[in-house]
Amino acid sequence: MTATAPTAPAAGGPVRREHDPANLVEVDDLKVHFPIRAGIFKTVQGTVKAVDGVTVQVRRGETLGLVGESGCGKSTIGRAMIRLREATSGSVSFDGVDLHSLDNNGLRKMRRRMQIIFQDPYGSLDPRMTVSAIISEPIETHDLARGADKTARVAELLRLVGLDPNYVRRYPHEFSGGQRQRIGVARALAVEPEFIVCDEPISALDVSIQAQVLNLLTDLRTRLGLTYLFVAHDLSVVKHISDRVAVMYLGKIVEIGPPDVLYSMPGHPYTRALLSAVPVPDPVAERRRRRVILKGDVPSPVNPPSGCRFHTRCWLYERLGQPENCRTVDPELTPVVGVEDHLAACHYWDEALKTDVGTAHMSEKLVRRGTPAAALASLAATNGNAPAEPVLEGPAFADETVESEGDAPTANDAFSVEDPASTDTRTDRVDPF
Amino acid sequence: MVSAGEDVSAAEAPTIVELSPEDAERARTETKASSGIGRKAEHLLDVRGLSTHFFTPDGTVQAVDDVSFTVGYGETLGLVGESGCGKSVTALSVARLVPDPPGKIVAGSILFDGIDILKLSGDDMRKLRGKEIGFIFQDPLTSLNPTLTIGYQIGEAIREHMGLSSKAAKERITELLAKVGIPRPADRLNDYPFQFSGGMRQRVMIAIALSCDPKLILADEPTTALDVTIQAQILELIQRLSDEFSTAVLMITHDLGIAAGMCDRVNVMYAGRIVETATVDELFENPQMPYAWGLLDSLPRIDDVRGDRLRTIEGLPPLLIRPPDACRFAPRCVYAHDICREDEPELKERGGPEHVARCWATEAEGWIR
Repeated sequence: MTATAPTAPAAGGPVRREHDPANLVEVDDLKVHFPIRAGIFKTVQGTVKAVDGVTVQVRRGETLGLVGESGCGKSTIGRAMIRLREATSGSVSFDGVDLHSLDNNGLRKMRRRMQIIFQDPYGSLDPRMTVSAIISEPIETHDLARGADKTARVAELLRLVGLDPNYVRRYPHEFSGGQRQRIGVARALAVEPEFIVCDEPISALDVSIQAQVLNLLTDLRTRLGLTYLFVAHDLSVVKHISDRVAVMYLGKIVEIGPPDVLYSMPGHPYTRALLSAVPVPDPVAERRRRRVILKGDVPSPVNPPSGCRFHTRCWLYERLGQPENCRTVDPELTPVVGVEDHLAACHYWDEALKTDVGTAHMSEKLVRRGTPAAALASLAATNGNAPAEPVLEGPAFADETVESEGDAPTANDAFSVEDPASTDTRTDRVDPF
Repeated sequence: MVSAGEDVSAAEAPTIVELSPEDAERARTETKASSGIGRKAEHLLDVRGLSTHFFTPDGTVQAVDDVSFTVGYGETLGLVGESGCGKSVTALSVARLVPDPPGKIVAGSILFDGIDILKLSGDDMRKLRGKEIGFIFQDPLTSLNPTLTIGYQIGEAIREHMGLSSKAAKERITELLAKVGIPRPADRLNDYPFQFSGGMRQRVMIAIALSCDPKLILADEPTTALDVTIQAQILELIQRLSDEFSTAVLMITHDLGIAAGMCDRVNVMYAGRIVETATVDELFENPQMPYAWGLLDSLPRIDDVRGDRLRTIEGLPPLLIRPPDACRFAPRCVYAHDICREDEPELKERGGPEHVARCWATEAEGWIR
C-alpha cells in the first residue's frame, strides 16, 4: 500500500525538503505556543509553550512511543505531526513534504496518508451516525470507493479490526468501550494510511480490554506495515509497543532511545523518577523499590524554569549540590555513551548513569506472574487437535488467521456477548470430564 | 489482635449488634479512634453476605451479590477488578451511600467495629460517616464543592463531629493541611478548589478524610486521575498516614501494581462477586483463579519484550441483570468444563484459610493443580 499511495500533491506548491528516506515524519525545532488572552480587549497576556523546540524523526515502519505527564505537550506534538495543530515555528515534514507549505486541498490529499486514533472512544464517535456512516465518511471524502464497493470495504474494515460486519447499522452507544475503540481504528484505516498517530488509544479502557486493543494495533502494524506515533502516559504500555521511546517534560524531549536501553540505563533524572514511580504488579519488587518522590507539581508551561526545565524538581540537581549550569544553560539532547540512538538532555547524564535510582527494583529479572504452567499444560493437552488458539500461540500471528474473516482472534469480544454460539465453539475444544 | 477493650463480649459474639445507647454516645463523643481504643470486635469491618441491587427499568442489576470480607484494625485491604465488577458499589454500601432509588442493599450485614451499620438510623449513620469512616474519591475536582473554600470544607466534619471552637478548628485544619504536604497551609485556608492542582486537591481530600481520625478510610481509585509522579506522592502519603494513625484502608483500584505496593491482602472481584482473596504475596505468587491469571497476563510490563502479543481475556463481563447460575467467568474462561457452566463454585480454601478462590478447576479435585 505504501507503494501505491500518492506522492506529493500537485497543487499548492508544496515545499520538498532534503530528507533521509528512512524517515517518514521529520519534526524540526517545532514550537507550538498558545496565546492566553484576557481582559476586555482580549490582549495577549502570555503564551502557553505547549511544545517548545522539539526535533524528532519517526522512521518508516517504526513505532515511536511518546511518554510524559499531562500537559507536557505530547498530544500537541502528535497533532502537529498531522497538522491538526499549526506550528508557531519550526517545521513538520511528511515524506519530505513540508506540511505547512500545503494549501487546504493539498493537505486533504496528504491526510489520506496520515490518520489519528483518539483517546476517548465515547467522545470521538458521532452518536448520531451509524458505524457504517462513520467508517464510510473518510472513504467518501477521498472518493476511494462507491456503492457496493464501499459497502464491501466497510465490512472488510470491520473484520480487520475484529468486529462483526453485521453491526454496520448500529450506533456507537450499542458498543462497549473496547469495541468503540475498534471502530475508531477502522475509521483511521479506511483511507489506507501509512502513518497513524495513536493518542492515548487505550487509556480509557479496562485492563483486559487494553490488552485486546494493544494486540490489535500490534497485529495491524505487522500486517499493513504501518508507522505509529504512540502517545501515552503509561510507561509499560509504551515499552511494550515501541521501537523507540521519547520522554517529554514541559514541552521538550528530555530523553529518547530504544526501550531496552532507556528503561534499564536512563540518562535523564526525570526518566529515572518516572520509572521509580510506576507501580509494578509484583509485591516483591514493590517492597524493594525506593521511590524518588518528586517535589511539587510540574511548573507552568507559561513560564518554564530557566536553564534545565527540570531543575526545580530534580533529585540529581540536589544531590550534586545544585550546579549552576542546570539553572542557566538549557541542556541539548546529547548522545549517551555506549548505545547508538540513545540521547538525553541532561548536563550530568554520566552522573545519572552511576546511580540505580528508578532501576534498582528492576535489577533482578522479574518473574512474569500470571497463568501457571500447569494451566498452560492442561490447555495444550486438551487443545491438541483443535484449531489453534491464537492468543496461546505466542508471537506466531499468521496473516491467514486474520483473513479467515469471522474467526479473527480479536473478534471474540464482539461475538461473545451478542452471539452465544461463538463461545460454544471455543468450549468445544475442551474435553469434558 | 483484640485488645482488652471495654466490651469484650462483642468480640466473642460478633452477631448483629443494635446500636446501644453507649455506642450512640461513643459515635457522638469519642474523637480518638486510633489503635487500641474502641476495638469492639475481632475485625474493624466485617461484611457478610452483602448484596446490593439496582432496580432499573431494564431489570434488577445485581451489582454486588453475596460478598463477604473482613478488614482488620489498621489493615489495608485491596479490592481489585475491572469497571462494573461491583468494587465501588461495595464501598458505597459500606458507607451507606448507595443512591436509593435505584439502588438498595437487599441482604447481608456490615459490622463496623461491632456495630451493624445497616441497622443504624440515618442520624446515627451520619455521626459515623466522616468521623469514623473517611472517604477519598477518584475525582478530586468533582468531589470538592467549587463554591466553598477548602478551609471550610475540611472544617465541616471537624465542626460536625468534634465540637471544637472555631479557633481550635482552624488550628486543626492548618495542622491537617501541613500533614498532607500542602505548602504554606495557613495562607491557603481561604483558597477555592480551582486554585489547587489535581494532586493538591487530592491532598485536600485526604485531609478531609483524616480530619476526625477515622478508623477506616475508603479509598476509591484515589490516584486514577493523577499523573504517575503525583500518584507516587499520594500513595506514599496514604501509606504513611495510615501507618501513623493505624487507620485501616479499603483500597479500591483497577491497578494491580498499586494493589501490590499498598495492600496487605487483596480481594479480586468479578461480576459482583469476590472470586479470590489472598495475602498480597500469595495472590501474585500463586493465583488460583483463571480471571486473576488473565488480569496479570493482560498487563504490559516494564520487562516485556517488544511486540510480544499479550495473552488477553477475550470477551466481556456478563450483564448483571440475569447473571447465570454458574461460574460467572466461565463464558470467558478457556479452562471451563461443563460443571463450570452448570454450577457455581464456592469460595474454598487453597492451602490455608488466608487464601480462598472460587474455581472448580483449581480445587483439590479439579483439573488444574
